[in-house]
Amino acid sequence: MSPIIVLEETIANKIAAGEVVERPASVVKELVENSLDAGADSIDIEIREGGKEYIRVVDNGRGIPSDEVPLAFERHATSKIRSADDLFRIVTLGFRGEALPSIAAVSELEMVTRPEESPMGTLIAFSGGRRTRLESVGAPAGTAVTVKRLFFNTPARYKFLNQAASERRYVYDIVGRLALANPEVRFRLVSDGEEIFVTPGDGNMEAVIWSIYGSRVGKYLVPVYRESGHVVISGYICRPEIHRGNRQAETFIVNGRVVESSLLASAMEKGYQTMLPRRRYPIGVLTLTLDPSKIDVNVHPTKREIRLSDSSEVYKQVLLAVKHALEISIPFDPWAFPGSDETSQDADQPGFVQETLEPPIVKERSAAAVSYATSRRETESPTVHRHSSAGLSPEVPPRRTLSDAVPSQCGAAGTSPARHWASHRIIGQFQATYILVEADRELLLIDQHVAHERILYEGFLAELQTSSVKTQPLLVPLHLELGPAAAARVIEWSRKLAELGFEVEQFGVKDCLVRSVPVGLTSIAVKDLEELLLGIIAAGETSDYRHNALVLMACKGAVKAGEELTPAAMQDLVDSLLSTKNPFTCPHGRPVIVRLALDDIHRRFGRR
Amino acid sequence: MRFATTQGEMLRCLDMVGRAVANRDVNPILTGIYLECENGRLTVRATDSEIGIEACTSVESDQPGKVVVEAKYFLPLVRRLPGGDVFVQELPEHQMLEIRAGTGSFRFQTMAADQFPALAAAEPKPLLRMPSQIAVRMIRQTVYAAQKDQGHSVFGGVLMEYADGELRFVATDTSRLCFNRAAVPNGENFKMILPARTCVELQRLLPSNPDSMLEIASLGSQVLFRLETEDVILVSRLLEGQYPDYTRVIPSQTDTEILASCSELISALERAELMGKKGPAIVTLSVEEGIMKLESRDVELGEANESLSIEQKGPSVTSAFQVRFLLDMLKTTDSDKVRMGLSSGLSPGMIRPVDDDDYIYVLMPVRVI
Repeated sequence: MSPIIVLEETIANKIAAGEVVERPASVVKELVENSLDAGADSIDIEIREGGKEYIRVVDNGRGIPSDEVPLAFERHATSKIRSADDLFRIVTLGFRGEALPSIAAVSELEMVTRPEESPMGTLIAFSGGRRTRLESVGAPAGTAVTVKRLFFNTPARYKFLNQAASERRYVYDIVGRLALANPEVRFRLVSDGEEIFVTPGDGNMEAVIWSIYGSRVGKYLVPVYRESGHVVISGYICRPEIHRGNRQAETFIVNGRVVESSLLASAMEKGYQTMLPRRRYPIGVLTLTLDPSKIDVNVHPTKREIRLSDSSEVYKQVLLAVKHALEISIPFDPWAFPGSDETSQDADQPGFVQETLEPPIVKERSAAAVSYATSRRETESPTVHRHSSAGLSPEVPPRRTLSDAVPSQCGAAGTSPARHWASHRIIGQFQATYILVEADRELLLIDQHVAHERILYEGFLAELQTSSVKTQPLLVPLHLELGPAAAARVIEWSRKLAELGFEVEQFGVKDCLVRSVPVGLTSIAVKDLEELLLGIIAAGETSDYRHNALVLMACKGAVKAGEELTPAAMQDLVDSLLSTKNPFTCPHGRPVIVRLALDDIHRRFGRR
Repeated sequence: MRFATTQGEMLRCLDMVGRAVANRDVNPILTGIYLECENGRLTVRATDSEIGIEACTSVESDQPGKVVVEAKYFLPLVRRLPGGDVFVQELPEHQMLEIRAGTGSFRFQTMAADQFPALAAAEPKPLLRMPSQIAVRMIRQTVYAAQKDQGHSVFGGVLMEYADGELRFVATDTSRLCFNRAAVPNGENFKMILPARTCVELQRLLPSNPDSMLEIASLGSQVLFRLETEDVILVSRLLEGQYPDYTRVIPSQTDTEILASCSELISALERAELMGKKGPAIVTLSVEEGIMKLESRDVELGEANESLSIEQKGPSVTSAFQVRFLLDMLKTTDSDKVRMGLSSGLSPGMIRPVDDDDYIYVLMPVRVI
């Protein structure tokens, strides 16, 4: 056995670097967080080759006095905490004192820094952890750190880096999140000479979202605000018309720190429940302000994961915040039909589709910014609503800003969005599938099946939630011929089915008798009932059976597409729909109402 | 083919068969109306292969023949012709049918009449002959309880059964059941399940004329109805399957019997029905000391409460029902008063017109879990 020795400092630093510095993006993150901690209100980040060759972070922060500069590169040297007690009151972003020495250990690092009050700045440089320069130089106030040839002395790590394109994506992602967390700081990100985005740095988070995600997302933003007990939740989420194939666009900022939290992610997704298609994820930025003593951020060296001491309460509040925000929001891009292609629309109607609303701050988005947005879109399925930007009509309330979202709209949360239309009139039925409705200055196309699904779903849900499930016992029990395996499963599930209003009992080995059904499904056909019960069981074995069951029940009970409706039936359906909590999406996440604004129709006819 | 008739007579025949025209052109010929003239008799026929209707009338004719014309345009034309004589003539060389009325002359493309299906190969022997009026009432008092649009399930149909000298109609959607019977002498026993739509179409054809007679005959998997005086036949496919034993469903007695005014009950229920914003409205009927209280509520909307004075026989009882189910029956009752049998717990309730034992309605109460 080898004798135990104390590691040389450079080796220890290389090991520590492995914890903090995984890839260029983590270098960028550490450096930007240092800049933020230094009170910078403008940070420029430039990378080349995805940061593998070159990273430069320039800020206008406080800078480091020349006598403290060498100290900054010693491990556990930090200006941010003094004792272990301070760990529980962390308000700065970096504190472990590992970042700079760790990065210096695995790259060629050069830092130029000058506090505003000093006449001269300091330049310090390292190569593979060994100091190569330390001298006084003339420099602008602030700190500029350049990191070149990352991992040049740890080839094993270098090998594990991905191609520049994907490293670049990690950098965009982290800078984007940091920019979202710090809307009061101007961020500028440049990659291989192209400007990816610039945020205004005026404290307006919505503007940051526009800058980063572009107008397509920006136009669908819904403000979120909720204050409860010791949690304040604010931010923006995107309406369910736009969604992603992964969780990349879910950003959570807890006490100013960008965190990853499966708890928060699932709370946000739960808030969208029934509005997003399966395995699609929302886009949103939520800022949570909590008592710092309620969170433990020192779980992981990169500080991306946090632990909450009051997780179930936070979960609930996030869920409610998202849910209420969506309930009072309204979609307004009438021509954005699912599956239609943005570029071809632009090409086909050059006079019609025009940018009527510019992103509020960003004047010109460079080609690189567009390509960034495009590369993100590539992950989206073709069912995503494409956004033609002409949809904004004056009748639609302007996008709300955070400030006016605060008290009044929280008060209104939970009331039906039907109040957005003063009156409505049924025009008729199209293809025995869609109901055409005139509502104020809009033409609504309502899918009768999904509309009815939404009504039934909320009805069933209300019964279940108030423990008043109404069940209709049958005069003639329905006989399901299921076969032994399926019959046994139905019987196993009989208690859960009973909660939903289905009373089933065994009838021989292969068959079941259904003795009662939920009142809303009275006179369901045997075939449909059989499908429904087996569907509930199949869906329930993987996840929350109640929700899935209600969705399936609503689907079976709803009028079908192709069924002709009398004017009275249409009126009934539309009235009930508009009184639901969310008339805009069906429980499967499909849209229920497509809205065409009068102004857009006028424009199509060249009237203005 | 050449014949002369009046616009009114021609329209009467076309209107009767018009509802059987296929509205989707699965088989294009079935979107047409078949006209055949032979021995001074005009036959007009339409079928969508589920049901078929044929109407006949006497015409003056000097040339027999048969043609098919597209119903969608032919029927409205005849409706818009002026009253009076109509002359119809086939122009085989042009494959046209010419209609002349007043000063107008109209021509329609014809389709190959050979391909139009016949309704019945041979004239079957009737199983039962009865006054049309009885059938009208029995259909009206049962068909609403059948399941709507349920394709080939027996619950989407009406059981029509003849035994022991009485004709019985039964319909159920599994939560409620209608039973209706009438004494009709001299029939042969049979049991058929008619699709609900067939009943509706038959009901539409049946005249209120008290002398009109209806014949029922079997064509194997189909049924044939003949209206003698009107010279109309309707042929329909039957539903296959085992109809549940309705006799076990009708309770022999109930705990409490009440006698209530039908019109009062209907208006009270129509008010209660409004409390159904989320899902079907439910009314709780509480009977105590000659008063029936009706209560309904909707979590989001509010509630409705009222009382009716009734005659009560038996103990106090409370039961909840879907309002629509009660109204369906009450609105088809011809009597001023109804007898309602209620039992506690989950036993079915029963409603009958006061003076009529031939119309029985059984329905299951709703339970809240």
